[in-house]
Amino acid sequence: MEETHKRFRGKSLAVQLQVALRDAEALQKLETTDDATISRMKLVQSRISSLTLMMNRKRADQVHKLNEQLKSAKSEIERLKLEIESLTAALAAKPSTISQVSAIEQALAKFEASKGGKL
Amino acid sequence: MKSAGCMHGRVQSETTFTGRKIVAPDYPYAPFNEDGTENTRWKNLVEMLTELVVDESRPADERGRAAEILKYYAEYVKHASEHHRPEACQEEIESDIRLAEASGEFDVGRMWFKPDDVWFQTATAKDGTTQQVVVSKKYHGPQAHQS
Repeated sequence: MEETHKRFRGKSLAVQLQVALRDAEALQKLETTDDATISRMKLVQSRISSLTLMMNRKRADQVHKLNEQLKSAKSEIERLKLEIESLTAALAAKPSTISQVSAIEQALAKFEASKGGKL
Repeated sequence: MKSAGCMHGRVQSETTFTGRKIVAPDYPYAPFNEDGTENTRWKNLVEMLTELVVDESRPADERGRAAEILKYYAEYVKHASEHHRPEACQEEIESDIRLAEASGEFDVGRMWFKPDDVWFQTATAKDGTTQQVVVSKKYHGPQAHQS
């Protein structure tokens, strides 16, 4: 039987930061301060600094990613606008069947009107 | 696919008018100049007839004839452009319309210059819609089948 590797999702940065802040709070409440406590406080401070830095980096990455998406969406909009403009121009330049037929119909209506006027 | 012919007398039976092919000093409505070159005043015969039909200086029978032919052409092209074909792409539809225009112009030429050789038939499409089309009387009219 094959050994299955279970995957665990690690704690999120926010949760880790929350835990570190609780630890710092607990150390702050201690009445006695010995060397070991000071070391633990320094360690907790480093944890908090590292986690804050990591969270800022993560946020910056997300913002960068969203900015890239926004930039690409804007360039796509510009491309589509240009395409619409060129298609509209091509359509206007093209002598359409509809306009030719409507010109014929107008001429026929004028002819019928002039025929009716003479009767 | 064309079905058995049916006489459509509105153009064929009543007219005595035949279009002219060469222009004259007092008559510009022709496709060729006196020296045999193409008369570039109009893009095609349809455009020429569209101007002729509103030219009040021309005789009534000539304008009436042009009007009848233009009616046929407008109906013919409109039938192609308004024909609902959900399965066809835009390119195919445009191609069919251009084909209808070209075919319609050919019919206009026959009706204007060779009215004695005009025969109307009812064409039935695959979806059952019908349309009047112009064919050569010489090759498709009743006399053609008797020989």
